[in-house]
Amino acid sequence: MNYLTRIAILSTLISTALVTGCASTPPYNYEALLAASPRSIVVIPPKNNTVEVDAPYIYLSTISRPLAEKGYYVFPVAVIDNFMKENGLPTPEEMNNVPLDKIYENIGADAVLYVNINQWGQKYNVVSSKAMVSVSMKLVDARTGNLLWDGAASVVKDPGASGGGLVGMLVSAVANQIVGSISDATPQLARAANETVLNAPNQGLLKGPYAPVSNPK
Amino acid sequence: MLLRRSLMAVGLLSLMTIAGCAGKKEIFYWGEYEGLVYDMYINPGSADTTTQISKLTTDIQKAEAKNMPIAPGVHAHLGYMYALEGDIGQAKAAFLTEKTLFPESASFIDGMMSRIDGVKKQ
Repeated sequence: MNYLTRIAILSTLISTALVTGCASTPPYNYEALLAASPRSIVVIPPKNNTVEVDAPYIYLSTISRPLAEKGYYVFPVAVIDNFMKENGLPTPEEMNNVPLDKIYENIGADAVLYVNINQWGQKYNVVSSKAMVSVSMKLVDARTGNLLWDGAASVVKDPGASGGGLVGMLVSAVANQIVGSISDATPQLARAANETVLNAPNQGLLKGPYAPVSNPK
Repeated sequence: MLLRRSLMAVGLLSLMTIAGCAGKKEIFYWGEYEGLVYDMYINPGSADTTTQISKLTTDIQKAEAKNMPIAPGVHAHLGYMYALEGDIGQAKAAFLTEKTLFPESASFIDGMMSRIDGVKKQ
């Protein structure tokens, strides 16, 4: 076997790994989402299952863009948060318990995105410190309460590991796109988690009405 | 030769797979909107209403210059900042722009407008 053949086989293996890595789980059942075809999404400030008090609002600053870029109208997250606070809901915990009919009546959103933050920030162990963000989310029809779509993702950034595999690549790709003075790694990890969960092939959220028809991705 | 061609094809395929996962053209112009949302909660000192109005207004101009639609929520967020400053005229104008650009926001914006009017009458 010559050198070139070996490379060819190796490349094929890598491509296969990439493709199957994206597509091995059975496709999500999109029936309810397709039937409802929501145009707009209101994001409820996330429920925090960690001890990091800033997590919900750091997360909230990362979710509008990927959702809207899927083609949905996303209600202004800070304006919605303030509106809920003014209506007697001081924290995300309470906001997550608002009855759907109240949300529909006051905001008029077609769908509501509920997010749970399950891990956030530094995880220390004997050998290294890793930063991690783990979220799960569900999209619910604001009129009927039907589940339209759900998903979850965990993203780890391990400064000790050199390669980091595909997840590491994804994180660094996203991290490199972000310029600015924010030194906290969690917004980048949250963006990578959002990218993973919203755009996973056969599992991610389907495109909304603002997505260009010519671009099938 | 054949091998080289298939090698290139495989290479291209891998690239397309990666590009398909990571890079895409965006629909909307985002500017500093998400950074401002981050700052107003995490570093509130660096995101007072005047700063936010200035940055959001600049972003709206940049989007126009680039001929890209401004991101959903930007005009409504700007309206909220004007309302916090007590500039009701500008606040209403910004809210109405959000509603014109994104009719999905209509019932929320209408509610905001009537609350603003209600506050004014008191």
